[in-house]
This record gives sequence, structure tokens and C-alpha cells, in this order.
Amino acid sequence: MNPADEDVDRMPEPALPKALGDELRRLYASPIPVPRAVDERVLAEARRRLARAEARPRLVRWVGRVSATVAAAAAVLLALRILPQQPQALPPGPQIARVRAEDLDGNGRVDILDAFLLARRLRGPEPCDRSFDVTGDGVVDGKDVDRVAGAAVEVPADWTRDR
Amino acid sequence: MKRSPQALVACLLLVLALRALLETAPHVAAQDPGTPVAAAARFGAVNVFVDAGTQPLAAYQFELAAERGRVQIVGVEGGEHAAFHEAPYYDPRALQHGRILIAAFSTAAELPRGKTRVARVHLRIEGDARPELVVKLRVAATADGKEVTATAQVVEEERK
Repeated sequence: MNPADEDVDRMPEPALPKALGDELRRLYASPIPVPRAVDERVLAEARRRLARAEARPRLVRWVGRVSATVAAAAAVLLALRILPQQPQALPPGPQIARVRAEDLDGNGRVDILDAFLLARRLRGPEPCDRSFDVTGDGVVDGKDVDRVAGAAVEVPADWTRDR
Repeated sequence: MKRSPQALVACLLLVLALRALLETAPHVAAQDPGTPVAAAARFGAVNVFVDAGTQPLAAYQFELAAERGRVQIVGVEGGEHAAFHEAPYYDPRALQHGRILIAAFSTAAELPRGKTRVARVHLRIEGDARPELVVKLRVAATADGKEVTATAQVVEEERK
């Protein structure tokens, strides 16, 4: 509620001019005389109901705060659920230019020629450069050739999704 | 009844959030019990040929993909020449799917020249429609590792 509205609510009711009050009382006077005790009971009941009605906005405000909290939590959960599902920028294929240990010829792509290069070096008389140890086991051998060849034919994740 | 605008906005947000949550949930389609679970499947194979002309073929890499039909690649064999008789390299994760990269090299002294079958690919085909597979040669090289111009062809194996 606007604070200005609350100030207005707290202001006392303006008093009617006496003449107008008398005229209204005369106009709406009950033809049957009502005892004062009945009047007071009616007034007390009216005040009780009014107090209950005034208490309601607090409950509504409380419900609003709880709803807002729940809505915010739901929005966070929703975001957490949706964000990981956003499609990642997948490479168009394994032949994308990237720096990889398996790219032995340094042409920006990993293909069977990298494995072939290593296999020919292994068969040659000169010792292989340690940079060809792609498995990291301290030796350059057939396992490195297999690792490079395996990387060359590795399919992107979107190729293995069910259609 | 008087309601605060904050409560109404909060309720609206909650409803929208729940609705979006339900829309993103995976839908489970009700299956008609009268519909068949899967179409009839058969097995077949295709042969892949590489032709490097007069150059000896020492290495190749190609991509094979089913362009039409419900096709799953279920196995890969080597080729006809001794240099490529062993099963080539491929990613096992590509099996049961319709697209694969296949590659091999040979350091043997004797290498094939001209058109040679380098691989046989076994398939599981659903339905009666004839599958259409497309091969794209990514690279071919001769004995010294230099790239050569070559062509690749995929041929469906005759049913026995």
C-alpha cells in the first residue's frame, strides 16, 4: 500500500454539520424504537468485522511475499534447467583448426596423415622427437600412433545422437 | 476483495515460471498400442573404393554418411589389398549411428594402385527403402606422406 494512502486512512472522519446530521437522522429514523443496548451490540459487531477486514491486507502482503519468493526460486530453477541445454557451438568436424597434441604435422587439423607421419618416423633410423609422446608415458611407440589415429577418426558428439 | 499488486504480480510470475517449466519438461508421447514398435530391419553392406590413379595409396581418410533411409553402421572391415586388409581406424561411438569417419595407413612396401576396395561397412537398414550412402574423401596420401588427388566411391554389396 502507498504510504500516502495509509496517512489518509489514519485521518479522523470529518464531522457532519449539526443541521445535516439532524436532517439525516430524521430522514432515516427507525419507526420502531431500538434499545440502546442493541445499538451497541450492533456497533461492537461492526467494529469486530472492521478489525478483521483491516487485518486482511497484512495476510495478503504476506502471501505476496511468499509468492514472490517462490516465483524467484522457480525462475532460478528454470534458468538452471534451461541454460545447460543451450546448444553449444559444436565444431563442424574433426578437421577444424585447433591446437592439439595429435596435430603432429602442425597443419591445424588432426587426420590420418599425422598418425602416418609418426609411424614412418618410428620405422626410420632417427629417434623420434619427445613431442610425439602424445600418451605422455615417456616413450614414443605404437601407442602414440594409435592415439593420433584415434583422434583423427573421433566423431563429434552430434553425430552420435539419435535422430 | 482487495489484493495488493505485488501479490498479483508474484502470482503471475509463479504461474509463468511453472508453465515454462512444464513446457521444457520432456514429453512422453502416448504410444498407440496398435502401432508397431519398430519397422522390419535387414542387414547389408557397402564397399568403399579409393582410386589414387597411378600413385601408390598409402593412407586414406573418408567420411561415410547415410543421406537417406534409417541406416545404422554396425561394423567395419578392412579392404582387399594386403596393405589395407586389417580393420581400419574408426570411432566405435559411431556404431549404431549413420555417420562415421574411417581411416587407415600402411607402411608396407607393396601398396595398391588404381581403384581398390579399402573397406567394407556393414549396415542395419530399417524398412524396405534403399539406403543412400555418401562418401567424402578427406585425404589420401602416397608412401612418402604427400597428399595425392584421389576419388572415393561407395557401392552397395549385392544381396546373396
